Amino acid sequence: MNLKRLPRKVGWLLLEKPKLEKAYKELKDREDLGTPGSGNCLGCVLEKTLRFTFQVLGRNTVAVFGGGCVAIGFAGYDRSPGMKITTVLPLLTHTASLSTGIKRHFQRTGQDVNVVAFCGDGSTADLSLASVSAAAERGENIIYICYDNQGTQNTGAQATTTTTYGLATPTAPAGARYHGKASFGKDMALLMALHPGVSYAATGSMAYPYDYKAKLEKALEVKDGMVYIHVFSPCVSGWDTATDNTLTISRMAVETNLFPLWEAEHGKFRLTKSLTFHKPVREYLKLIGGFSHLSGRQIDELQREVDKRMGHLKALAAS
Amino acid sequence: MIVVETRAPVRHKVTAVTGLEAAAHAVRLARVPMLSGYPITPQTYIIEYLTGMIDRGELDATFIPAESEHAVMSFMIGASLAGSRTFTATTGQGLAYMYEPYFLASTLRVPVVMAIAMREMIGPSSGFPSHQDIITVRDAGWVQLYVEDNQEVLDTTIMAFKIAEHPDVLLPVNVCFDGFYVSYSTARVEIPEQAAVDGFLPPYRPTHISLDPQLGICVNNVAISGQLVMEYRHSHAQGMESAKRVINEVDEEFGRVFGWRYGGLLEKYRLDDADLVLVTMAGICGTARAVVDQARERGLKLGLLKLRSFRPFPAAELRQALEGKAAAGVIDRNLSFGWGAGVVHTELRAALLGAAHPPHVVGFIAGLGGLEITLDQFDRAIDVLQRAAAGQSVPQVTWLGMEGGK
Amino acid sequence: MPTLRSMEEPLTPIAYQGLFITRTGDWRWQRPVMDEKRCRKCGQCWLFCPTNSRYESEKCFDTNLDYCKGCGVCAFECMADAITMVPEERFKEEGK
Repeated sequence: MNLKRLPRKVGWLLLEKPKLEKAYKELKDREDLGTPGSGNCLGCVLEKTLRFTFQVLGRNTVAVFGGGCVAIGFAGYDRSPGMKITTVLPLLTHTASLSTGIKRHFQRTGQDVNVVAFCGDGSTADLSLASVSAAAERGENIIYICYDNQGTQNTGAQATTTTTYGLATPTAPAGARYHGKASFGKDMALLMALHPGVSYAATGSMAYPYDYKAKLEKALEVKDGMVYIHVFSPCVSGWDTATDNTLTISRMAVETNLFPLWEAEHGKFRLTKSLTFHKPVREYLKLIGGFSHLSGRQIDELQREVDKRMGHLKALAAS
Repeated sequence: MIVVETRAPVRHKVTAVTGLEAAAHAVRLARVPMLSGYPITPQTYIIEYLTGMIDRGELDATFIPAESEHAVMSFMIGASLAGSRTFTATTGQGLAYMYEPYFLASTLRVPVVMAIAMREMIGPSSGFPSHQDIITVRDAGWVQLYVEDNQEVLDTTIMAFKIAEHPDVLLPVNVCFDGFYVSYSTARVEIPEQAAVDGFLPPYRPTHISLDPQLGICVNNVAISGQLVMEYRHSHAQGMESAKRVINEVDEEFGRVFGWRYGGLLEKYRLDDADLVLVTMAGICGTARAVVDQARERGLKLGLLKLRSFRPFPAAELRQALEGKAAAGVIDRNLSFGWGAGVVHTELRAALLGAAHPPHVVGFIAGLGGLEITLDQFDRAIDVLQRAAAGQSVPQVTWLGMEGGK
Repeated sequence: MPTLRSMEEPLTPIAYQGLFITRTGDWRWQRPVMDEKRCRKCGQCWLFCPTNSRYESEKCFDTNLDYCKGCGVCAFECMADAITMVPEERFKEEGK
């Protein structure tokens, strides 16, 4: 018996277990549409997210993968595909636009097929920001899922514009002159939720699969605009974490308000996981090797930023 | 234009429209369901022509508003992979911004048709006529057809769909015409009736690709095998090779149906008995025709070779057409930096290797940045050609229209 | 299922033959071992397993060892402490 886990265990028994059991029972017979053996790292949350996402969304789907780790794992190689449904591997810079072209054809020819863009943060928040934002403004009926592993992980974990402040990356390592990522990273999900054409925006975490499942099911119902879901996706090799606690890190990001869970239906915000007490961001940082160099001042700065953003979100949810 | 006797001539409606409007009419007649475009001078008005036609119910199509040319080409690729006939237009910086998906379109073998209102590349900040934009992307795997006037824009755009979608070709096609001179200028255009175009151009029904979810394929798969990439590139090159035959066939069929044709890969104007030949592309051919006629009146045996297809490059046809001629002068409205010559000039020289009696080839750089190519400049070019034919020493490349006559 | 021309000749690049499967079980250095008595059959390990290699067996849950990469997420997350990660060497010694 691990006594350190006792407080969480009590809460889990009361609150989490029934929801997890329900999610499991609903999903256990759903087909995993990905290849059973994918090349992603041990403990990869993206791999979990992808398998789970398409288990929920089902076979009537064309997936558009925006390069990066998802392509490494699930695009297959040479003559053999990596998914049981049709996928398109676009350029990093235009996933939303290419998906738009596909969806517009389906709409025109009366085919009700889900077009799901599944991209990393380097593609979504950096290279193809204009493309994603414009598709959102037009309200293209695509489901856009961004797995946020906070870096271009398959090129060696360089920082992107969503990377958390202070994380040591090759673009800003931890050392004498560099002290990890110097800026705070953009809140991509909030940015997307504020587009008028986004009918449904949400954040998701695989640590709360029942919450993410409910959001995907809502996404399937949306026929009048774009869906944007931003999923927190810790990276073992890029963030320097253990392989077994990546989902605990995902959960801790929610519990410290670093990555709050919310949804916005037609601009109406709601926190889907509201916490009575939140943990200090320090608790999250200490699980990740890439933050081990942070000074007390840096941790305080990050805490202030997290609190500020949470304040904004609460104000939006209350309005 | 070569007039062809047809058994049942097609009724044409005579109008006066701009080059862009002519292209839009071709799109309407080709019943293109998926369109997009982003404004850039001198291509801009095509967007309002197309949306106007949709608005008036003349064209049943989806126009996807875009945020950039990069997105435009991405829409086209997505819609074409899914099964739509697609059309767009761009030029200059827009084409440059589009380069990444532009290359993807040809290598994914999607038969997109894109009009190019050719213009200069920046800098200096000039958006005026030149072929520099499209010449710069000549090796991106697209078929590139160069047309002279508004009528040819309309006719070639209709032909372009047939060429692009031909099962032996399956490549995207550019219909390139001079910005401003053709794109914005109004000229007489005869617009054929819908039934004739429907008979000439059947609907697009792709058999090489589908995005049916149940297929479980991965499009644009990761190729770690160089062997696989070699196979795709080889097939792409074969598609280009087939395009030479198809361009000629489609041109001949067009002639049979509509009453005139353009010569396919190239047009020979008063070439058979000519000693001196002007070789050029697109709008310059209009002036060159007049120059040839004037020279003939003076007794000078001058002819014109109009290159219609730059990609694929009809090397054998050019070699044959120029066999035994005394001198050929290539007028390039573009420049290959580092060669100090125009691209058609350098490629023509390569094409003539192995000819039994090749002409003496000289090059001219003219009309960059929208500079008018005047009759005086042509006179100077003819003078150089005559001296070359007489065996005198002449510069390999002459820049026309520059002060001091460099 | 319709046949596409691109399956017969190299036109549009597509992957269409079967599935690309990596035998990720070969990567594994540790293996989840279940304590059947402790398992509460909540399905959390199934929900959290990144490779989806957990499955419900007659008594509790089991692991598809062809694809289990041995990351240890199931053992770490199991609230009933029913899973222990055991180094693969142990199984080699026992000849399993």
